[in-house]
Amino acid sequence: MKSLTIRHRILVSFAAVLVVMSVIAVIAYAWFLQAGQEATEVEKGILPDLYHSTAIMVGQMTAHSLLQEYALQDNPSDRSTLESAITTNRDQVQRSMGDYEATIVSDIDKQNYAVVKELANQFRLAETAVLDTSRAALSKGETPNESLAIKNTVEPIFVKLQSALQAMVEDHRGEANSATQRISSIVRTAEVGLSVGLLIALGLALLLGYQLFRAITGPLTRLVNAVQLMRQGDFSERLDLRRRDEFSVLADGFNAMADDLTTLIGQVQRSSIQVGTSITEIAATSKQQQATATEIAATTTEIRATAKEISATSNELVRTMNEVSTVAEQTAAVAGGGQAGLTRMEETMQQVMEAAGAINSKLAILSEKAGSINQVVTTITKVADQTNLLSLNASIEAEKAGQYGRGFAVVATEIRRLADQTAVSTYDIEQMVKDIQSAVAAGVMGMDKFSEQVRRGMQEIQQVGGQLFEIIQQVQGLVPRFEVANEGMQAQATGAGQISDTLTQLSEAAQQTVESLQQSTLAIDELNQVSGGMRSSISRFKLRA
Amino acid sequence: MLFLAFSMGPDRYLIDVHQIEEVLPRLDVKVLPGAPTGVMGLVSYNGIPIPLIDVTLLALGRPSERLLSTRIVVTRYHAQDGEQRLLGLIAERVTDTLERDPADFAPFGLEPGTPPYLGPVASDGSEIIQWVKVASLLSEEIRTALLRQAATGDQ
Repeated sequence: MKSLTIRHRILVSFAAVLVVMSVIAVIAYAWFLQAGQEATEVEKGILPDLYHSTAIMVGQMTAHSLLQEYALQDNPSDRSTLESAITTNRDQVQRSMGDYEATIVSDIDKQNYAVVKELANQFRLAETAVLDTSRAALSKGETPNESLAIKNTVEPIFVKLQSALQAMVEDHRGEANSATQRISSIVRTAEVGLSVGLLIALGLALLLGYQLFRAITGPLTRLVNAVQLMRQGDFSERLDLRRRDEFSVLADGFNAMADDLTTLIGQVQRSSIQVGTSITEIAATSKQQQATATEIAATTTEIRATAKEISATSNELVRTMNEVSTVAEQTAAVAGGGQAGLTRMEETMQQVMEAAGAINSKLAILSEKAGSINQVVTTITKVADQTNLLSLNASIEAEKAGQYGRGFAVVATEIRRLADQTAVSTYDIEQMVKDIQSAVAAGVMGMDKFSEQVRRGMQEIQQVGGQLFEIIQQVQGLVPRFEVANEGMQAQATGAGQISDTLTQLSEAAQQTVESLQQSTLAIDELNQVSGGMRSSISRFKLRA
Repeated sequence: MLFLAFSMGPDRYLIDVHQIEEVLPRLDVKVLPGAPTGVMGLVSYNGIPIPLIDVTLLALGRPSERLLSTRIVVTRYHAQDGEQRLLGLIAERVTDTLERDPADFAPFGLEPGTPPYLGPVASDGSEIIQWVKVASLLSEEIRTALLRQAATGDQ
């Protein structure tokens, strides 16, 4: 039920009532149709039967009474009148019977009619017989006496016929009665059915109407309450109708609106707090600026005094600079003298270097000679070796020669001793040559180092000369700069005076700034009050936590 | 009696000059591949190839240094077949002769544990000098090899 929309509820309610009413109408229509059929049957079937049977009965009654009357008449004219009446009546009965026969439907009716028809024929035959007899009697001139014949022949038939007709009429009357009863019972049933149907329709309409009423008023009340709460500034309330109809859509819309408003108001609240904070900061900053401006004013005054001092100092500096300029010129002259001395020293150094080169070439020649000596020594060594070998073999041969080789052995030993001495001497020479060679090498190295040092000294002298030259140039260049500096100093003194004037103006401007800052402080106070008002007015909104 | 002196390591040794044919400077050696240890190869002596043994290598296990004083001593020895054969010895510091009486030499008492070529010793000043027997320088292996060499040379 909760998921039905209000539109569906309304449609369903009306449709239910409409369906009940339609059912009632259909049933009533059926009842009335039945009643109509019954009435038609009475009109078309039963009433003509009753009418014709009654007509037959009346015709027979008339025939009987006419016959009785005929029997009582004596006058022949009256008799003939009655006879024609009887004939007319007979035709009438015959017509009625023909009409009745056309309406016969049921078997009982058919049996009754067959009995009636038989009895009517018998009656007619008996009647005709009576009439013929009386007519014959009349023609003979006698007074007919029909009473007996009637009593004997016609009366029993008539009684039977009368009872048969009575039964037929009764039967049709019973049919008519039962048909009428059926019609009235149908009408009663229709009355009851219609009443019950109307009651059901009314009850259903009431029930559905109440449901609809509840479905609309329940959520509407909650919605109205929520709106009332929101109007009082409470945004914490949210609707949860637990249904899926138009009110659910409305509740969703309401919730979304409440969320948006909550966000908006939350932002406004935070912003108002931030505004308050910012105003406080601005106020503090403004006060600081005020203090700073005051300080600036004071500082400006101090600076003005300092500028005046600078002006005085600059004038003193101009005098000092003139003195320095004189000293610089003297320095340049002295440095020029030093540079000339250094140039002479450089030339001397050049000569020393050339001498060192000559020594080195001499040493190289010495080393070469020592190498030649080494070659000679090697040759001597080889000769000594060969001599030794020779003397050894000589000694051996002399020993083998025995007595004869004795003298030769002495010579051989002597030769070997000389060879050994030669070897020792060559060894000594070799050692000495090696010493000379190492000494020469050391000398060459020492001379190289010496040349290097001399070269370095020369470079240093050249550097010193260059530096002295630069000094001279710079000192000479200083003189015009001193003049520039002098002019600058004078300009500085003038500038310091101007600065002093400007600072006076600045001091006044700082004072004005202080005043305007005081005004802005007043404005900030007002702003603070406005912000407080805004905060208090926004704080009445209650937001969901 | 005159001896030729030579060195093995720091010590001096002597060879009887009567066994010496000639002292030669170092010569080119024809190497014999697969020869026993100590056999350096062949040298030509007056046109005759003679086997050459490095005494230092034989005794100390290292070859003689290649100096001027390292020389070849051509010796004579009596082979087992009674013929006299020539044998070249390479030795270090072959530069001097020494005159000694054979009676100065005395056995040193450790002969069984030492190589057979080391003979009796004598003192020369502060150092001890030892007589080397040339015939015993050849071990059995070298001797066999030399015999085979000689046989091949005869053919």
